[in-house]
Amino acid sequence: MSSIDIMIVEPFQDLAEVLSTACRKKGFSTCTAQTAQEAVHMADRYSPKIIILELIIPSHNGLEFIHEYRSYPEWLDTPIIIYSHIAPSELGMDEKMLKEMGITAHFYKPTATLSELIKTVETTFESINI
Amino acid sequence: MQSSTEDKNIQSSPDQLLNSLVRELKSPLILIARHAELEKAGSKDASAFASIQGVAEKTLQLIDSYLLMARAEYGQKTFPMETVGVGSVIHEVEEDLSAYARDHQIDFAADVKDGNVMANRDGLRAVVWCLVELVMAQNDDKEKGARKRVVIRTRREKQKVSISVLGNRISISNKDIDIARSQQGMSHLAGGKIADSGIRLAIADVLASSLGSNLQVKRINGLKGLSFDLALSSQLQLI
Repeated sequence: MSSIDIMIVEPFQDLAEVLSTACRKKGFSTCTAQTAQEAVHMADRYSPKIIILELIIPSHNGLEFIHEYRSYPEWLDTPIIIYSHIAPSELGMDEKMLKEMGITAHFYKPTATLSELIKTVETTFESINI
Repeated sequence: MQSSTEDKNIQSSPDQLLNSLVRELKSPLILIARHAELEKAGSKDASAFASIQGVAEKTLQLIDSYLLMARAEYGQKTFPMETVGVGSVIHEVEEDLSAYARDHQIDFAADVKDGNVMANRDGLRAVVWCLVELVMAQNDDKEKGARKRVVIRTRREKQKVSISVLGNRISISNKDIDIARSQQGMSHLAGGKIADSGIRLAIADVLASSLGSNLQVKRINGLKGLSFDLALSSQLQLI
């Protein structure tokens, strides 16, 4: 089983490609998934070290995906970075709740720049590789 | 993973439809903004990509503001009031618009004393953003090459904090000035009465009302300047 650095769960394929290119430019290997179901299969296949997740995904929402994903012991500690149409204020979860779910950061897509997102990916990657 | 399809109701609420529409509108803009950001790094034509990114991000903010307005207008959202630092909200808006301002030779001048008001942060931010953006868009100087200024001021009066947004050298028609001089409430001015105001003025007006505030045209000096004044309570109002 090969391992990759980052799995991008993003239903809009063109945007997933842009995010993937930005990550690869920084030397990370990536895979992408467009649905929760596909994300679970990809996680099983590639064991990503970090997940970038849109909460609004077809068939199941991102929170359902996190719940399912965390139910497997081997995936309990994988950091998840939310990059979503849903703003932190709309999600209604405080920092403690996010931490309990293993969510490292929450970015609101329309205002968060790529450089902010990639910087957080780099910091998170460093922290798990210490 | 269990399927939740059976739980879904085919009939969507107006709020769900609005959310879906907004997402549909924002998705391609997010792609454009992020793609431009990616391309501008190391590109010989960095300023063109920066410009594309700036315009896309401004439009995204406008759509978000419109969503807030639509929810407020149709009673689908009551804004929870909280203590909000005026200075930090203004600073955020300045940051958001700084790249666009730089590209268009517009200087920000801020005379902002931080003070707390009772408001909703997202709502207040949208109002300030709309006013600054409106003033910037109208700040179309006829003297080519001259820099333009957008001034943001705050002022504390008794239990109120006022935010003023002033633009110098604004193009505005005589008809618009007459309407504005009548010093009526902004609802009478909304809907494009001020040249090229588009939707921004209407958004700012509706959201300001939702925040329990009054938005007024405070001053027009001939063709040289337009100032919006927004008075917010610094104390929780008991109804």
